[in-house]
Amino acid sequence: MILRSIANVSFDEVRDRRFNASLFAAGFEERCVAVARRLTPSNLGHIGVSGFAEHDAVEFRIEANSFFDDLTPAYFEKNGVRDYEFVGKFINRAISSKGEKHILIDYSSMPRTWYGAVLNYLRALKRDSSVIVDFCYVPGLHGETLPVTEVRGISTVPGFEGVSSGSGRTASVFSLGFEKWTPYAALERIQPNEIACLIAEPGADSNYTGRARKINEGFFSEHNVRPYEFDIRDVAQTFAFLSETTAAKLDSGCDVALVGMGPKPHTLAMLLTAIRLPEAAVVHVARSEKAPRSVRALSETIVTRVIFV
Amino acid sequence: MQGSAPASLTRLLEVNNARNLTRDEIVSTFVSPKAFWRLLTPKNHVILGSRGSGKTAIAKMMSHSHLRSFNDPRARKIIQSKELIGLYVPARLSWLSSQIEKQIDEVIAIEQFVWKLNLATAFGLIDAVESCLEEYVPIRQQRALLEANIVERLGKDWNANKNTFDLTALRRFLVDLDYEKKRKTTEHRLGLASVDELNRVGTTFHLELFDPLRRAIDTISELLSLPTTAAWLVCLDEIEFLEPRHHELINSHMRADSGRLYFKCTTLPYRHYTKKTTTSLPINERHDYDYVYLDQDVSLQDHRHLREVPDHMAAIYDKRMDASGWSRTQRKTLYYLLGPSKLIDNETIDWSEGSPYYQLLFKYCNEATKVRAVRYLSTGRLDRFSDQIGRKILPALKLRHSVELLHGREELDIYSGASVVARCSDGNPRMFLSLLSRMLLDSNKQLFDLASHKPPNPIRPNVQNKVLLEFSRSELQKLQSEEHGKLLFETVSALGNTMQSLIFRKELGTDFVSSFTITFGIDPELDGAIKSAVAIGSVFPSVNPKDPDRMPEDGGTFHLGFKFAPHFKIIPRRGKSIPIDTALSGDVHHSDTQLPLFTGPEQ
Repeated sequence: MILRSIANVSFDEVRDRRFNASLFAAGFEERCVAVARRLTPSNLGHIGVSGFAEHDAVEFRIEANSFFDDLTPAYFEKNGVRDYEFVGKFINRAISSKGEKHILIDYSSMPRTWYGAVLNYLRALKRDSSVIVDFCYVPGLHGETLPVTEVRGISTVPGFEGVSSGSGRTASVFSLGFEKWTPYAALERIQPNEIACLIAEPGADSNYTGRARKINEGFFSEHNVRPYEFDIRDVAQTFAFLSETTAAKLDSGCDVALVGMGPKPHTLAMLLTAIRLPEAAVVHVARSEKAPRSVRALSETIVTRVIFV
Repeated sequence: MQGSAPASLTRLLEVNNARNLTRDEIVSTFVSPKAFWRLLTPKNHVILGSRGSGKTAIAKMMSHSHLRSFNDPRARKIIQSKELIGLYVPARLSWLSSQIEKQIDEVIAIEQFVWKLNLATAFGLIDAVESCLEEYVPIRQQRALLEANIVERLGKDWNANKNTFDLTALRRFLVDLDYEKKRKTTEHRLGLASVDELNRVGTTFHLELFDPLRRAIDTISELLSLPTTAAWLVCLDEIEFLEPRHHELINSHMRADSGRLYFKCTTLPYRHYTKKTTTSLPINERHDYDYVYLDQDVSLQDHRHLREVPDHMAAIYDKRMDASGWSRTQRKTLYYLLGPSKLIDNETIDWSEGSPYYQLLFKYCNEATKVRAVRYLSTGRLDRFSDQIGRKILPALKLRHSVELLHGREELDIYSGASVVARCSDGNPRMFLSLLSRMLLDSNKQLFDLASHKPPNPIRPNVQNKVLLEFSRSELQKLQSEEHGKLLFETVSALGNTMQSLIFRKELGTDFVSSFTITFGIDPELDGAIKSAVAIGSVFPSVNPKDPDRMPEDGGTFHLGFKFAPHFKIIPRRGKSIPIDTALSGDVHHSDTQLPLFTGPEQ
């Protein structure tokens, strides 16, 4: 299938819609249940829930598991291993019958591998009628001080490896958030010829952008870049910018690496860009395991509607 | 470089990573370290060096396309004799296994790696063939004919499309093949394609590792009449990005008789992950390969005259100026730009009784040093005094005195001068160029003046000090995001604070500390952190000059990178070492009198 359109839609358009299937991640962040709580269970269609292998004794993790258990999901992998297999199984069932299908993915607490797998699956699929995917994201409130994380290595998101032109030149786009030193370590490993940076403006709350700018000011000045600012709610616009920039760089013979270290909607825009332009790679920066932090959900739900035909 | 427009100086100073320079820029700015010529031999090498030490430049320069443009008689001889033909193979981003590889079948994962590496060598080979054609086949028609013959033969072996007529099209075919493989891999992960379908893409590259390369080399050698004795150097750059199981595979080829193939693998220190091979026999250093360690102690490097600017750093600066079109008569030297160092350069000092330095010596030194000093000075043995005491104690006296004189928001200017800048970059070319470019930029935007060929003015010491201090702090903070980051940051901070305390909190003697020793049995976590520090160029092993490429494995002496000197206010000079336990325990540390300018970790 091909990616036909990306649009920002209001949560009102989602609230009363009946979905064929819905996919959630059961984690240790409070916001992982927020979208499901804001919807009517009978509208969710068949439900898939995947958990994490780590931190299974965290108090909220137990609560989240119990909440999702009550929804009687069709698939619930509490120790989410073999992500691709799980996502494949879930989507396969969601679209097994004919006709247009509508799927909800709550990626608020979901690793990019999973929602990347959904996009990849749909790209690889041959189907007569369209699949509409509503990607929902609930912004969270992060504490004032975030722990410094170590970069353990970089890898590409599965299915988003990109294609090397053989020119040996790389351009990287970094989406940045609240991690001050990790971008340096990531940059040191990727060593691109050119870099561009994105931050969210407006961000999840009124303090977000100022904080992100302050945290990253050293990185910007050291590499002589002025960050591009994109509304965290506007995945469509971020995608349009990334596609334009990436296409131009690819045309000039550069390899392109998209590095999402900022808010998830920016990462989603990067994955969508690479779906449209598969020569571009999406890079994952593996950090040391963070101690579980409770990320409180804000009241808003950001929805991005992606249509594959 | 003759025949081509000079590159912009701003670009040559700002872009200090060989990975991002064009071929002409690398060739025209390359300063060959001694190790380079040792590497141009038919032998396997693992080249170790911290980030920015010049590994990529060396790996690229060994390739035929770069070496043939290098203006050096030794390079010309190698190219003309056709004895060595190098191909550059970077561990590109697209090589990196994605997270999912950890979940899929081990056999498939290795097969995919072999496929990718075989494909990557094919890209490298095309560059080498292009270069060989240009070098050895001067007549254009003949060259075109030979190119078509080579492409036909390689295309047949690699199952290229029928309309692949030249090397550009062959390269394009490989790019498309790579994409097709990735597409099929994704389909396979999603259960939409079988393993057979996956393996059907680019079957040639599923042969044994390096077999397609060997076959292609035979073809090219035959068509280009290259000697059968020619050694083909496979320069695998940045193998630290690979995994231990991949190193095992590469080791196996270094261990076995690889015919005409010789491997030159670059990686960070302690990041040649294993000596295992895929057989029961490990790879043997000295027999199967040699290590070459590029980070050399800047304070032990060759110096020109008395100015204490290491020759290597001066040469790097000179080459960049040459490459950007500055004539030798017109441009200024590095020493002119940065000036002398108040802190560490040798100078004639008046040590007579009552002189300012005599007073400082009596103010800050311990009793034993004072007694020795009086003995030498009162008996007129000035040479002896200078050699045994004055030369050794002077930097510490100057530093301590300068810091004591600071008031309010005043800043030091003592970390300045060509020798200090060279040392605070730890002899690392990338770091050195980055510092120089920042100083020129901060010094009334002189970087742009230089680019437009306006004669530069010397960079003021306070500007140099400011840039070195900011850099020093930022390098320390960045440690937190590296492997073993927290421990690494704490260890380096503790070492720096201890060294600082010995200068500022104790009475001074003629010995000062710049190094620490580790003995066998160190806590494995700490060992990991120290090795990580060596890998990224924050700590350097004290190597045996007779065996400078051997990295200490179970203990040894290490010195803290001089890049941290401005932050901790220590001397960028080699001193004695203390056991790491002492350095970390804070025995010599008086926290109650901690200077306010030494800050903790920044979040």
